[in-house]
Amino acid sequence: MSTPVVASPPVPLKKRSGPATHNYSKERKVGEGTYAVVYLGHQVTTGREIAIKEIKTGIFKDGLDMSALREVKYLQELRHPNVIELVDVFSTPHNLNLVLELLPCDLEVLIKDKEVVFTMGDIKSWMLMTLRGIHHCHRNFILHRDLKPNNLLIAPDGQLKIADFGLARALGNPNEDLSSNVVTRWYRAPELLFGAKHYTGAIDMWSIGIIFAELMLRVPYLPGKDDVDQLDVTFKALGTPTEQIWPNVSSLPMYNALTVYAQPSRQELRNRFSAATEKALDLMIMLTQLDPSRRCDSTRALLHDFFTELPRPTEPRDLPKKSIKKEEPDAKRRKI
Amino acid sequence: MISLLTPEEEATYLDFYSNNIIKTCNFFKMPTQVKLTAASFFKKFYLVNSVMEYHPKNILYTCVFLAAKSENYFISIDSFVRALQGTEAAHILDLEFIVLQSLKFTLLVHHPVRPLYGFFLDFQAVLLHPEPVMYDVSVDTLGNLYNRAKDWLNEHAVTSDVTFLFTPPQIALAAMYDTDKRITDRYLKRKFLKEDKEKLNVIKEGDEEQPDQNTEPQNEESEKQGVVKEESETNSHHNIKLHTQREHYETLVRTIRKCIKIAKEVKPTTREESKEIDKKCFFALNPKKLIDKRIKRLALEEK
Ligand SMILES: Nc1ncnc2c1ncn2[C@@H]1O[C@H](COP(=O)(O)OP(=O)(O)OP(=O)(O)O)[C@@H](O)[C@H]1O
Ligand SMILES: [Mg+2]
Repeated sequence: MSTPVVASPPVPLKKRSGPATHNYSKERKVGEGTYAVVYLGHQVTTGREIAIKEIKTGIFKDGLDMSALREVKYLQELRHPNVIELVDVFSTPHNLNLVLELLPCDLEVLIKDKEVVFTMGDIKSWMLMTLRGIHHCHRNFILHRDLKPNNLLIAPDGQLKIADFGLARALGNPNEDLSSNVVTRWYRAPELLFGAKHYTGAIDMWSIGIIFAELMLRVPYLPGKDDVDQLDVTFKALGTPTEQIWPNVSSLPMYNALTVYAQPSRQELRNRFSAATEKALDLMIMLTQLDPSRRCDSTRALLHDFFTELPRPTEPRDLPKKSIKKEEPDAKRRKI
Repeated sequence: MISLLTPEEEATYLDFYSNNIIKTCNFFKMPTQVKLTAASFFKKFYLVNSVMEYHPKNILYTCVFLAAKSENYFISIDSFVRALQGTEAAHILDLEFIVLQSLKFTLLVHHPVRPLYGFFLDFQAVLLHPEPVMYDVSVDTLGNLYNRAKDWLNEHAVTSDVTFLFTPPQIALAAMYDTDKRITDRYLKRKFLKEDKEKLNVIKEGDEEQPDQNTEPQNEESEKQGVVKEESETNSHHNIKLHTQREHYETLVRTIRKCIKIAKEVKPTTREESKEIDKKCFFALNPKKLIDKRIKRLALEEK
């Protein structure tokens, strides 16, 4: 990342943090997450529109928040058209502020907006951009661990960007335990549901498979009501894993005597996803393999025939946008 | 006049504190990863700041605290400072952002332990399979080499400047080379010189990039067939390839040797040396104290 614009090396740092604020204007609140409030603003010197993610303090008495640190740590390492850009970081007396590129929309908003119609070309285009972004993360040994439509933001030019790296972490320190309590429930891979302490980028690939399904269905694919129900919903849809299809599955910590559901037949899947071509179904099946070692990785997914068959992926600038209706309540709120 | 520290004194002083990082991390039973990251933060902090501006003691603790969080080994500020003498939570929390800013918000540090593990695996692939290459080298020998190389890294790489001068895989190889030159050299030769004549390969189009540590073992079967088919026309190519291979190998060994030398140059700083510098540093950090002292003395002389 470039050094903060205000930085001039000879000035002691403690004096530097103050003026940084003046480089950016905070205008209005555009969103709120569990640990941050997001504002729209401008970079004063360039006039560029940006988003400022102000990390809430007071909820974390142990100094800088872990999620914020993770977000800074990993976004610093990643530069890719399909990963959100971290422009700068600065502090106000009690807050850490991440300056991000402004991304006014997200995929969840579009999925829920019933005025908007998705074509297979649109879905293909979003899938492609998501996969390119995650491929870049994985080849840098970074797991996202919280992929869901709400964290796939859309730029004004239609580019999709993976955002919210508050749960991300680096892969590949041998023997290190990882937490299985990651990923928003509906997008959580079966190995996580079983409490696996070692896992790979395959957990992100699962989430992408579930998002793919959601893009076609326009409703969440596996909406479990709680963690136990999530297992049931997942296996009802995709079959219960057995030792045959997933060797050693029964040795995972939370593997239990489960209701045994059969694997869905091809015809069943065809009925479930009526708009999907055979190639689309193939990709979906590869992404939602129960056994993580059989699930396809980002390279194989990107090379899949689904992306080369017709229709072509829609050009990002021609992708559907939020319908105007949706804007109205927002506009009203702004006037108040 | 305040006498300022010379760069040498400052370096000596920091070496002393670098060692305290390791002690602190060991005290909290933190994993190696945290130790290495904390040491890296500390060194980077003083690339852009001076001990005459920030006293190393609390910076050191802040680096450990921040590194622990960054490496997912969270420890609460209360239990952290409870174990430290004369340091309060506020001291560390106030410095945390300053440290983060000095690091230019770069928290990810690539350590040589990971490539070391990779080399441990590749040594097995290259030296033991399909059949052992050295009569006295087994999995156990290599396991032992790996463990001793890890100790070497802890001893020499954490506190020295090598992390600023060499890449993590180079440092890892230096650790192995200095631990067991014979085995490591054999590995490097087999890997980069393809010492076995039979396996010497045809240059495939687009395959002339530098052999680096990440080069995958090549598919020997298909290459052998290639040699048979294209032998005559590739002989001169062959020699060029041999030549560049040798150059790469020699450059690599030279780099490794240089790394070993620099890693071992650091001599431990004694407590006395550090105390001396500490005294000098005191007035630089607190110029007012010096003025007060001078005024007192002048007042005495007046009388
Ligand atoms: N770069 C951006 N541009 C515009 N809006 C943004 C941007 N980043 C985040 N937002 C908005 O702010 C909201 C919260 O951001 P984000 O998801 O990063 O925070 P979070 O605390 O991790 O949230 P959650 O825990 O709910 O996922 C998002 O849902 C989005 O509406
Ligand atoms: Mg979010």
